[in-house]
Amino acid sequence: MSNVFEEIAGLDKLIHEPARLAIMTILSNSQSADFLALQRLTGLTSGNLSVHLSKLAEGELITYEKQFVDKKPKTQIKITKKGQQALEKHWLQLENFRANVQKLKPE
Amino acid sequence: MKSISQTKFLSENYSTLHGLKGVPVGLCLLLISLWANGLHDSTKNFSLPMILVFGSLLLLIAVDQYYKRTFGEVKPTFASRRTQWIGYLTFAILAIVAFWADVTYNLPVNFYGLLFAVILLIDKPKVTLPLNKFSIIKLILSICIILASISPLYLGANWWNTFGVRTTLLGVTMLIGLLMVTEGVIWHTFFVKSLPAAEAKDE
Repeated sequence: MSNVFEEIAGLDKLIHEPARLAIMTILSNSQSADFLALQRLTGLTSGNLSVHLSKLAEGELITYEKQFVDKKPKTQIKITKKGQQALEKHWLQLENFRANVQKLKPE
Repeated sequence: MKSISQTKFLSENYSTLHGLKGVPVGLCLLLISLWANGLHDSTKNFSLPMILVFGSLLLLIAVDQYYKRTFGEVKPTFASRRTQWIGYLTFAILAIVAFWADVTYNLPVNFYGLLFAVILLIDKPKVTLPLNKFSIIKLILSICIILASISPLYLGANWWNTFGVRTTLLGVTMLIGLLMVTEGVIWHTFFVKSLPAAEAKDE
């Protein structure tokens, strides 16, 4: 049986952070979202959100797409294929972790 | 921050939760049926309903812009959009058939209203606790419309005349319009309250 604490250590910290997990969840259930929608859905300040988005972009889990709407720049944020796979893997790891913890419970 | 399941629900249904979009449509239905109720056989001037439709479209555009500027935009997945469009098309076809049946056959049941009530029940976002209040509102509105649509069965064919309404179809359409406006305002309030509180800004 694998060590559950090793499993915890194996979780992707880039995704596991609550704010980033919320961002990834939003993006995985949509084609794209703009900065304002992400801010409203997460409740983060614009500074905090920008920091988290930068980290996710550095990890190639999201991309930015700049468009011009009514001559105004608008950034659409999308999850990448790598980001989608990383998120699914993360949920699977959490489920396996939960299952293993259940097995460790004293009878 | 909300739980992941609530965040997932809000992001999947972001644009459908923009309740105020139903207000111009509801107002248009209500006002046009009020106009139709006051029609005389000799009336051939349709400029007022055309103005109402145009005004509703402008209001709808304004509401859409309000949501984009205040709450941003989450574009639904292609599969979601496809399902939505199939739904709209199906509803449009069924609405035409129901309307035709209502004006052709003088039955004590209003098919247009019943169709609308059914759509309200099935066109609800998939909710997770504790956001079930979205479902409850739709259920209550649906029941009101069903009761109004079958009202001639238990109140008599001409009971709408008591309120100065000439036909069941007009009465049900007025009710649908009014309920759409009410639902839109309530839905919008729920939407705003469901969003997480903003973090305090760093000093």
